[in-house]
Amino acid sequence: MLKVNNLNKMFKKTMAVNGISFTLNKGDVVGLLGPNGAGKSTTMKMIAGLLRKDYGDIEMDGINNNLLKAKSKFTYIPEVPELYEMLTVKEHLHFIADAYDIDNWEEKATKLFKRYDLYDKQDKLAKELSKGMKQKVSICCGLLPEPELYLFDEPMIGLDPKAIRETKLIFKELSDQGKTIFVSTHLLDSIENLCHRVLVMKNGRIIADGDVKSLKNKLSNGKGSLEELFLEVTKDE
Amino acid sequence: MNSYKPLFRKDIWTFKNYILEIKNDKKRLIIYLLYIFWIGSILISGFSKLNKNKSDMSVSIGSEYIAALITFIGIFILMYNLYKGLNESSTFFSMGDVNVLFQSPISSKKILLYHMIKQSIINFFIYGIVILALLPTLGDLVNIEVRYLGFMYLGYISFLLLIEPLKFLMFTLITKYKIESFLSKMIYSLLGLIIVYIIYHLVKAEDLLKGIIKAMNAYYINYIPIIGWAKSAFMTAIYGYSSWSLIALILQFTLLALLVFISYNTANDYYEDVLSATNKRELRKKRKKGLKKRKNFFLFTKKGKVNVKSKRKGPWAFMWRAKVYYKRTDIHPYFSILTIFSLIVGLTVGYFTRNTEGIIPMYIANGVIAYIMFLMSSVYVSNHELTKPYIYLIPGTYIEKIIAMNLVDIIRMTVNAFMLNIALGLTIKASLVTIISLGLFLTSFYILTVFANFLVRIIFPNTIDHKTLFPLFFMLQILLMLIPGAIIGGIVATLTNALGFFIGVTVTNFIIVAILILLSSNIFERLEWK
Ligand SMILES: Nc1ncnc2c1ncn2[C@@H]1O[C@H](COP(=O)(O)OP(=O)(O)OP(=O)(O)O)[C@@H](O)[C@H]1O
Ligand SMILES: [Mg+2]
Repeated sequence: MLKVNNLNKMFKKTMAVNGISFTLNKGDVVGLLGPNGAGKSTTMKMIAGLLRKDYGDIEMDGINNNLLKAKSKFTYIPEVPELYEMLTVKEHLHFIADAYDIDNWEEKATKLFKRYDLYDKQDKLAKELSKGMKQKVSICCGLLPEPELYLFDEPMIGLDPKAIRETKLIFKELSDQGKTIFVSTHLLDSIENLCHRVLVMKNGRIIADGDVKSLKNKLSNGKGSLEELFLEVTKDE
Repeated sequence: MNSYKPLFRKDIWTFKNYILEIKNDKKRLIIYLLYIFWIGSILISGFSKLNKNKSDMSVSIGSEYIAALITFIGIFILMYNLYKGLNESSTFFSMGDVNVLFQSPISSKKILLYHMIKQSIINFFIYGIVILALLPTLGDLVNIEVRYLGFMYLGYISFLLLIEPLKFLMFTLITKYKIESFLSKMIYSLLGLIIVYIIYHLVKAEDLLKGIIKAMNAYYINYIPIIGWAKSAFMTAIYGYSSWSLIALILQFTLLALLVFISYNTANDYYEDVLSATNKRELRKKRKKGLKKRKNFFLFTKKGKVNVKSKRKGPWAFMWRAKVYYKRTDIHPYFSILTIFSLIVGLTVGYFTRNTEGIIPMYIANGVIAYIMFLMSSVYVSNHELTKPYIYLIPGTYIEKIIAMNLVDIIRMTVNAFMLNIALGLTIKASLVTIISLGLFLTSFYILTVFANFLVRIIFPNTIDHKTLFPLFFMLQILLMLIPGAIIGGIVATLTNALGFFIGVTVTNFIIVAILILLSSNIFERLEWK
């Protein structure tokens, strides 16, 4: 589904992403871990086409990610939920429906609103929403087009427990439908029983790649929590 | 599906929501109505002045001044934007566009074209307010031919409309072909050329004012794109119609269309470029609002640790923070690049006016600078402290905090004001009393603008109100700030001499400042942090 090859990104003097390569298969739910500043968001933004790649290739089903055809294959939920301040919640989804040419959008939107407790806030302007509510709208915008690939950059931040559970459930459902999910997060316990595979980044490189169990086996013979594993992999030499 | 349709529908909704919001907010509704009323009254007074006959003598001098002034302002704005365009793209987008629109399957070129055109149309009307507000003043100075008012407006607006696409295209070319150093060399050479050109005319004319006017009104300037073409069209309403007016205007709009067209064809991968520009703009908006943080000379930016001793605690932490900021970004906490500039201006003005009788040049220089300060004050205020919660959290009285927050800026400007007056005063041999009084005058003016702005921003923190209502605030500021000083200064002047005017204004200014500080502190007691 997604093929990333030797990706590089430099910001002035920081090497934010340093030659990473990986492939996500259809139906994979893959977690992207790493300490602050590891390069997770930069990677996500490059895949979404918001940042230029200095070097390397990104392909979705064999199509270069910057081509228009690739754009309808994925959605990206950004790290910070900045919306159109002067549009209502419902108008956001209407706009997405227009842009992605979605049929039946109202029915789908209503379902999402109900799941995320936004049903009675549909006519509120985005600038009147709390931070968590904005995050929910941002997630709904990403879910509405029902693409093949979902890029989530720290989706759980600021969500209430119910919305977190709902998001996890949605991940499960999507993966059962054969959709691919690439999610960066700091919440390790949510990864454990959700992701088939984790990539760990540090200083712009991928330093571990595999399913949770085999990573555990390799490092500590299957004992210990994911947290210990994470600290072990990312500790400074 | 047509790609422009979702974009257009989105904007219609946005517009509808604005209208609804204003309709539901009584306070804002009243302000906006007042505003419309004010524009109406300006229009009427402006047009009634246009047709009155004035003496030929004053008109020809007036039009010369106006022509020189707009050339100068045009060059200044253009050069400033070209310089800024080296480091930052221009943006027609909001953070909503960045997060929602850019990833959608709509072609990035179409998105760009749509937004460029939309922005041009909006600016076409928004910027009109400024020229409208200036129309009565223009009408006082010169005869304006009403039937060529269209030329004037289009000339003026075409210049402004060209700036953003130009900046955008420049940055696109820079990232695409990696020609930053080449372009920056070009811009600096151009700047050097302009300075040499002006100095040449100054030396030749042996007179400050005459030299500048000669330099700015040379006939070949009319043939320079962007600035000259705009000027030719603008001056049609004053100088009268010639076929060149029309040609210049057509050329100007053709150039605009060409820039948009080239942008459309070269920019396919511009998202990253506008990302940081958009981000910065929105940050600025949030920073209550429309306040640009004064950009300091990158030459002096020091990274890492800077040492500033702090003696007093509590509210004076604000002062310490400001000192650290300036120490990091400028020559010294109290001496800035402007200080050197003041010295140069003082010496230059002094040199070219050394043969003039008396100390009139000093009055004029200080008056002009005070006026510019007043004009700029609504745009440039370095108070980003207002967005942070510390003003509410740090212990101390509000009066202390308000003063501590602004003190470093005030000291810096005092140094500049005195530098200018000392340099100028010594070259033309003015008395010590004059130098001190005029230095104080300029300082009092600065302090007045600082606190008046401070007050406006705490009363009206909303961005959009601020942008659209700017002329209204401006008028209020004139009423409250300029008029009392002018009246009292005028009275004192008739009783004593011209210097008395400046002393009168200074004293009045300080009294108003005291009132403003008390008022601000009172408002703060009732305010919440948003
Ligand atoms: N616009 C930018 N300009 C300069 N440097 C940047 C920019 N964006 C990111 N960086 C740098 O790139 C590196 C990677 O940043 P990135 O945002 O990808 O980290 P992250 O893994 O998402 O971290 P976090 O967990 O905090 O979200 C950091 O060192 C950061 O300082
Ligand atoms: Mg991140």
